[in-house]
Amino acid sequence: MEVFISQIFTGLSIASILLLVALGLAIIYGSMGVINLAHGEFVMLGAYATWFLQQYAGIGLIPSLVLVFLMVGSIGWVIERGIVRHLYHRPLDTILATWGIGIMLQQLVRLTAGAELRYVELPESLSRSVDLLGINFSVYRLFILLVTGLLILLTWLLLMRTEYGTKLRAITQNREMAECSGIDSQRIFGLTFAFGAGLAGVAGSLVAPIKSVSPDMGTHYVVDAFMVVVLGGVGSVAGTAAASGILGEVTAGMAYLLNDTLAKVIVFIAVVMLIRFRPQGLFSQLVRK
Amino acid sequence: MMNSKSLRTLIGYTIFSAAVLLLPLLIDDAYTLNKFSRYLILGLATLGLSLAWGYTGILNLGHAAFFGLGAYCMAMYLKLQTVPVHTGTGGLPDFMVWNNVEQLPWFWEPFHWSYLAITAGIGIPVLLAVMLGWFVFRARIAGVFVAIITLAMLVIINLLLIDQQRYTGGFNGITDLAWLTIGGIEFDPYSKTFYYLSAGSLVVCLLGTGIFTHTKAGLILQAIRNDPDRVRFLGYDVSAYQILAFALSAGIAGLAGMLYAMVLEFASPTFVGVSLSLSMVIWCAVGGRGSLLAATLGAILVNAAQGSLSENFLETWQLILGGFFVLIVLFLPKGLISIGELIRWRRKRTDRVQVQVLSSTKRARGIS
Amino acid sequence: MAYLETKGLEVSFDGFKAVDGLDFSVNQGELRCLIGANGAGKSTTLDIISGKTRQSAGSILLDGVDITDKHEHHRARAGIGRKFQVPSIFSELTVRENLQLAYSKQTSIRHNIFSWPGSAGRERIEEVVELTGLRDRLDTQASFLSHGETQWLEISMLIIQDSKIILMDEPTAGMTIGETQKTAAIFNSLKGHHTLVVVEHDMTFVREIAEIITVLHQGKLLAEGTVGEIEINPRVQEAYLGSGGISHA
Repeated sequence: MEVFISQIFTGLSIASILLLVALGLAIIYGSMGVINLAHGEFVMLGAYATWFLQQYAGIGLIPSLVLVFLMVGSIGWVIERGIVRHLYHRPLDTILATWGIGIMLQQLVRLTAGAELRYVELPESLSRSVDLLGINFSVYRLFILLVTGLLILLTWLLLMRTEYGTKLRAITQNREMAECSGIDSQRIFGLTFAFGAGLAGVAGSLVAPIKSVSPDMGTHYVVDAFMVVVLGGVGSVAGTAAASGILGEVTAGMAYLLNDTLAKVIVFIAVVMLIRFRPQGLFSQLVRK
Repeated sequence: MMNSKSLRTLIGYTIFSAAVLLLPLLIDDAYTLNKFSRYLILGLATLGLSLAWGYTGILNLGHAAFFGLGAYCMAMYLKLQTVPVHTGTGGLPDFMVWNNVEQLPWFWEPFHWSYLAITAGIGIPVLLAVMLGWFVFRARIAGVFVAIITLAMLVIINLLLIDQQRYTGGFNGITDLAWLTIGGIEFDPYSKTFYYLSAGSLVVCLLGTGIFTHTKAGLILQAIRNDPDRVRFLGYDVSAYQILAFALSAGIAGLAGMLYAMVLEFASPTFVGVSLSLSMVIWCAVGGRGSLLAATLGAILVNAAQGSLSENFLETWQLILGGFFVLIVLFLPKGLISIGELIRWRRKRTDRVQVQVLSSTKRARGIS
Repeated sequence: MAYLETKGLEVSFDGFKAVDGLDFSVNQGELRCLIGANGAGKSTTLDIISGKTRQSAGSILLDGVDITDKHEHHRARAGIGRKFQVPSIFSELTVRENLQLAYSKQTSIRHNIFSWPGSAGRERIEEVVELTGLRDRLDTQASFLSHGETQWLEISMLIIQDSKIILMDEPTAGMTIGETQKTAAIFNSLKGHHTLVVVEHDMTFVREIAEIITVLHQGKLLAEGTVGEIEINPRVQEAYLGSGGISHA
C-alpha cells in the first residue's frame, strides 16, 4: 500500500513537471499552430535566470518566479515579433525556425554562462520532507504540485474569463472574422507567445533545484512536452493536464517495473500509436472539416 | 526533348560529380582527405533526406535513425573483425566482456559476414521505413504529425541503444573498429581508396536519384507534395508512393551511416541523436530543400565551413549558424540555391520600376 | 440501363443529414446537371461518389460494379473522375506535367519507376490542349494561369484521365461570360463520349448544356426532368420560394 501511494506520488511529481513545460507549448501550438522547438530553451533560460538571480542578486527561488516569468516572457515576445510572426502561413517552417532559435539561445548561454553544470539551492523551508500516513514526502515536490495547480487555474481563468482569453479563442476559431470584428490578432499572438514562454521559464525555475542546469537541458524537455500536447489534443488546457497525469503515472509505473529508459520507450510507442489511431488526441472531439 | 531547367540540372550534376571525383588530385594530405570524405558522407545522408522532404513533402525529423542504424550495422561487423585482438574470453567484443556478457547474442551472429552486414546496413533502415511508412501513410497522417512520429521513432531507437549497454556499448557505442576489407581492398579511412568509396557512393546515389526524380514516379512524388488528395483522384495510390520515397531515403541514409562508422572508426548513440537529425534538416534547408544537389551541397558546405574553424571559435560558429539558418527559413525558404532566382527577379523588378519612373517623369515634364 | 447508380445514399455530420436516402442514376454518355439551393447536398453527393466522404448508408454502382467500399484511388481507377469547386491542380508543376500526371492509365509503381512522364499519351494531350486552348501554356507553371485557364486545366486533366464518368463541381464559378461560353462549348463537344455530372448554379449555363436536370432539396431528390419540365415544376418552385423561381438561383 505504501509503495502504491508513493508510486502515485512519484507519478504526480513527474506529471506536474511535464505539465509545467507542456502547458505553455500547448497554448502556443493550440492557438497559433506554431510548433515551438525553442520551448525547451525557454525552460533552460528560466533555469539559468533563477541561478543568476540567486548567485548574483541573492534573490531566492520563490520571489524569483515572478521575475523569471517576466524575463523569459519578454524574450518570447521579442522572438514572436521578430521572427515567428512572419511564418504563420508556413506552419511547418516554424519547426525549422524555432529549432534555429533554440540553437542560438543554447549557444548564447554557453558562451556567457559557461558549459559547466550549475546548481540552484532550495530555501530551507522547502528542502525538508514530511511524513504523511507513514510515508515520506519531499516538501519541494509538494510545492511544485501546488504551484502547477495554481498555474493551471490561472491559465484557465485567463483563457476563459478575461477579455484577452475571449479574443484569443476568437482568433483561434477564425482569424479573419476576428480581425474584421476589430481584434488586433498581431498583439494577441505576441502576448500569447510571451505567456507560453513565461510559463516555460517558470517551469525552468522550478526544476532547477532538482535537475542539473546546463545549456542543453531543454532538448530533453521539448520532446516529452510534445508527446503530452499530442496526447492531450490541441487547444485544451484540461486535456493537457489529463495527458500529463497519464504520462506521469505510466512513466512512474513502468519505471518501477522496468527502468526509466524502457519506461520512456514504452510511453513514446504508446503516443505514436495514439497519433496513428486517434490523431485528434484523447480529449477532443472530431469535427467536420 | 530537353528544356532549360533539365539542362541546368544536368550541367550542375556533371560539374559536381567531376569536382568530387577529381578532388584527390589536389589534396595529398591524408587528414584533409579524411575530413572531406566525412563531408561527402554527410552530404549523402542529406541527399536522402531531401528526397523524402523536398521532393515528397515528408518532413522526417528522424532521418538520423536510419543513418544511425546503418552505422551500427557496419560497426558491429567491423567490431567482430577485431576479435580476438580487442577481446577477452570466448571471442567476444571488449565491451561485452566488461559487461559480463558470456555468449555472443544471436543478433550479432550474422555480422560475422561482410555481405550480410552491408545488406543489413541498407536493408534494416529500408525495412523500418517501409513498416513505419505503412503505419503512418496508410492512415493518411501528414504534416506536423509525421514530424512528431518520426521524432518519437528517433528518440525510441536512441534510448534503446543507450539502455541495452550489454549488447550495444551504451553511451560509448561501439569503438575501436577494424578497417573494412572487401575483395582484397582495404578501406583505410585516411586513404584515397576510402575517399573514392565515399565519393563514388555519393555520385552514384546522386545520379540515381536524379534520374529517378525525372521518371513518371518522380513526377508523382512532386505532385503528392503539392496536393496528395488530387493525386488520389487521379487513381494513384498515394501512400504506396510515399512509402517508396521514404524507403529510398532511408536506404541512402543507411549507406551513408555505414560509411560514417568507417570514416570515424566508431558508432555511438549521437549518430541517432535529435541534434544530428535536426542538423540534417538544417543543411537540407540551407542548400535548398527542393533540389537534391543543392541539399547535398548545403550539407557539404556547412560541414566544411565548420571543419575549417578553430576549436575555440566553434561555439560562436554554432550561434552564427543558428542565426543564419533562421534567416534562410525567413527570407530564402528555397535555400541558397534560390539566390540566383531572387537576384534575377529583383533585377527584373528594378528594371520595370525604372521604366515606370522614367515614363512618369516624362509625362510630368510634358515630353511623353 | 443506368451507368452510375446510387441507392439509399446517406451521410450525416454530427446528426445533420446532408444527404438523406438519395436514389440517383445517370445513363452512359449523358450530361446530367445537378442543381439545388445551398445545403441541398449537391457537393456532398459528389464527395460521396468520388470517395472523398464516406457514406453512412447506401450503395454506389458504377457500370454494374459495386464501388461502395473502395478508396478514392480505386474509384478513380474504376472510372470516376472529379473536378473540385476550388480548382484543384498542381500549382508547383507546369501545365504539361499536370496533364502528364492526369494520363494515369498506369498507376503502379513498378511501371512508373521505369517510364518517363512524356513517354505515353502524347497524342491525347495534344488533342485535349487543342480542345481547351491551352497549347500555348504547356510550359507555364500552373500557378501563373488565369482563373479561367486553371479551370480549363482541371477540365483537361479530367478528359485526359479518360474517366468513364466525370463529376464536375461548379466548373464555371468565377468565370467571365466569355469564359463560360467557351466552357459550354467544351462540354457540348464532350457529350456522347463522356458521361458527365455537373453541379451548377448558373442557370444560363445549365440551359446551354443540360439534357436532364436533377434537383436536390435537403439531401433528397426533389425532381428530375428536362429544363422545360423543371422550370414549371410546382415542387421545385416551392422549394425555391422567395428567390423568385429557379432562374435566379
